[in-house]
Amino acid sequence: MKRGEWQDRHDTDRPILQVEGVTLRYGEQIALEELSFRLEIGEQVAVVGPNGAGKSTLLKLVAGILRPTRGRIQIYGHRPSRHVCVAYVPQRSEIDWRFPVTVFDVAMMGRSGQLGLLRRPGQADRDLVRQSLEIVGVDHLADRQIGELSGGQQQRVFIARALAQQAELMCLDEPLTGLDVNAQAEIWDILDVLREQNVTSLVTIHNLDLAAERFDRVMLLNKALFGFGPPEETLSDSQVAAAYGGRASFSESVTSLDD
Amino acid sequence: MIEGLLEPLQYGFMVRGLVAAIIVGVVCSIVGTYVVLRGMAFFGSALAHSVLPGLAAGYLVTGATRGVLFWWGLATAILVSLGIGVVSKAARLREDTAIGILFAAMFALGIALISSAGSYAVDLTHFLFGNVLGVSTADLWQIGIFGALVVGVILALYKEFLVLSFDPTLAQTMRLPTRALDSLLLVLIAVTIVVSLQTVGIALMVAMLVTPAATGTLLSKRLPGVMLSAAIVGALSGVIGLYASYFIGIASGPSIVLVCTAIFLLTLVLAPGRGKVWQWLVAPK
Repeated sequence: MKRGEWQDRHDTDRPILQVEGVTLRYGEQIALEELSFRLEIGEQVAVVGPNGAGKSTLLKLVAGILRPTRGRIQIYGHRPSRHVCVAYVPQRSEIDWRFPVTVFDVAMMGRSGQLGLLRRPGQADRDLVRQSLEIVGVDHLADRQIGELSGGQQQRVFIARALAQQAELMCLDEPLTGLDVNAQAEIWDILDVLREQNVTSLVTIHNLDLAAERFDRVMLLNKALFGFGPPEETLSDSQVAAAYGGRASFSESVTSLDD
Repeated sequence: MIEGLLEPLQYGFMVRGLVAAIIVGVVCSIVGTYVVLRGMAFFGSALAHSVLPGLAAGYLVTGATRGVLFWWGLATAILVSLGIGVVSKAARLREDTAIGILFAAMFALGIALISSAGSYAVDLTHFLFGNVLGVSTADLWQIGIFGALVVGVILALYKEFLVLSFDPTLAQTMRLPTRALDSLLLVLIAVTIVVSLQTVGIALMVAMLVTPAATGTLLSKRLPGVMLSAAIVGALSGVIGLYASYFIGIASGPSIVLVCTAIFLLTLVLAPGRGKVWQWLVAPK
């Protein structure tokens, strides 16, 4: 997969993602408060925290879908809205799966940013979409309507779409939710592929054990940052108890929420 | 048989009516695909009703010249389509509540205005249910040009409207001008409604926006296929409906809508893959 085309626009001396003092309020209500952190190229970071902690909100801020009330988010030194290299893979519940589009159509949507208004996709775009579908192993389903696929396959198509977008930073919102164990295993395989492609990933996840097992670093979030670092440091019982308001400890995890 | 079908064509009004019904059927179906996929049926119905005060004012001021009424209707439809967004934001209401308020108020205002004129009942009926056999050659030009404009924009921005409708969040990360595109789609629906006024009228408009497109979604799993089959269903409904109206002697607008509904029901039962009969045939026993 060619990743060079967008590189020259990037100031690669700067971190792929830098978040400084970011606060988001809806009126009086605080969604996120005073977040500061940075990501290194190619690392995979799990975002954990209780329901309503602002995990999805953080992903949407990073993808430039929401704007912070205060603070600064920079992708290679620029505002997210200046980039199309950040992909946001939505929760499955946000999509109308009856929509009349094929798997190929969905992946092709990943090209619409680079193509620009009014331009039609060409052979290079179609090749890139094919490759992306191959990488996640759903190319044989290209002509199926998106709703005919299983949950795990649908999730993979959306990751293929992000690959077609040539995303260097992927925000995956609850990619495991609603998937059975086998389908979850498929998603882990894809995350390994993303690692090979040197794609930086920010993944919200409910299950603390999986977060500890699978990710380079873990971010513990509940409106504010309660910890960010290697899993064994971040997920200490005391820190987790603080973030979850004493409702859960690491040892008993929150697997029950992960349905 | 053939002679019977050709017989109505000796009348100029019938030929013009057929051409108008075909154009309207195609334009409504293509725009209607997005109305269906984005769940905007209520908006479409409301917008059609909201055009009435514009038509009534034009009618009172100019004395019912058709060509002029088109512009009054167009201005009203565009204003209301963009106004609904403003009202729902300003009043912090759910959009369907804002639509409900505006729609009933505008419709009431329209009827109030018309009731101040002498020939109240007859003219109101024409506005509400259309009068496709009264289409003039000048009207046809208006319908044709604006219909082509709407379809042209929808096709030119196919890729953008597709992304925006399937996954608005993706459209934002693609840095597409989502607000401008959303407003543009509302304006396109507004133009479509005004183009179609004479054919099916205000009260039945939503059927032309929704029914052919819904039939299309039963027939194809890709958007271009949905649009094409919807357009064919829309045009067919126009032609068959108008013939039925001629031979049975019923009003043209309702006739077109009923034919369209019949095609939808037939498709629901018979469509390959999705139809009930098909599912029954291939269902594991």
